[in-house]
Amino acid sequence: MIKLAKDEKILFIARKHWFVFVKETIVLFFFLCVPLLIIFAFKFLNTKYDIKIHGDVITLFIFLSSIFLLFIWVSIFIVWTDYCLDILIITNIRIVEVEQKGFFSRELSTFRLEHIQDVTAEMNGIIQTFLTFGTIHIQTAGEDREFLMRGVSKPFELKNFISKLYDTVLDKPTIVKISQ
Amino acid sequence: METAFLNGNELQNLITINPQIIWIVFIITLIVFVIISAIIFYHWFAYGYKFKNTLRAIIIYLVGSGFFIIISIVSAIMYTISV
Repeated sequence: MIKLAKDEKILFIARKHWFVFVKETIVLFFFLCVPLLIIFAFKFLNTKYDIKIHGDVITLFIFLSSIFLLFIWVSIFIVWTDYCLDILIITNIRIVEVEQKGFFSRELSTFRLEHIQDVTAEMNGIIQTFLTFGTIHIQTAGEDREFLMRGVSKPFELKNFISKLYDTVLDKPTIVKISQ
Repeated sequence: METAFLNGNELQNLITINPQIIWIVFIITLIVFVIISAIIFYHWFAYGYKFKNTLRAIIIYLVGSGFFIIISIVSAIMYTISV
């Protein structure tokens, strides 16, 4: 997944909340009703225009429905893959943000823990509040960049975890070599 | 696909779907399915975290897909026989 440095350990992997996946697939579940709509449409056309299909209509309908449902099934896994690959990896040295944008676009951002300036967690709305998911913003020093992950599970716990980790990194004594 | 077919004295709309078209649709679907599956599996193996979870996902994916593919094959055969 990512190459770890020497003495580097993965402490936590933050993923998006399951609701984010459900929200993205809900449209696909509505598409499951399409074969039924086709039956109704065909029945309507049949009574109005007396259309007849040569051969076994039911098997033809089953064939087309199974092809359609296969694509819906594959689409669910495409959404799931996208959902699973959006992660925030927190190690004892750095934070790695991985964002998958479709199949052929992947963004990987890394920043060291000591560069963190500000961590903000937010939950907006009833659904986010009840299901405890939201957005986490991590502001870093130097580059003036903000890292953002939407739909992350338990953002306040994650914020506290990162803040504590940041404190331990700052408290750690550093060896400074002075060369003459 | 043939339409507007005269049967006796009344005009009827009889649609005949050639079984060859059914099989062409099936083969195209299968090719697209194999390509998409290869891309999905590549992502799971290249960027996935736990091998056990990846394996479980592959099994669920293939069982579901296999179910629909088998149904489509059986229905295509039955339609071909019925025409």
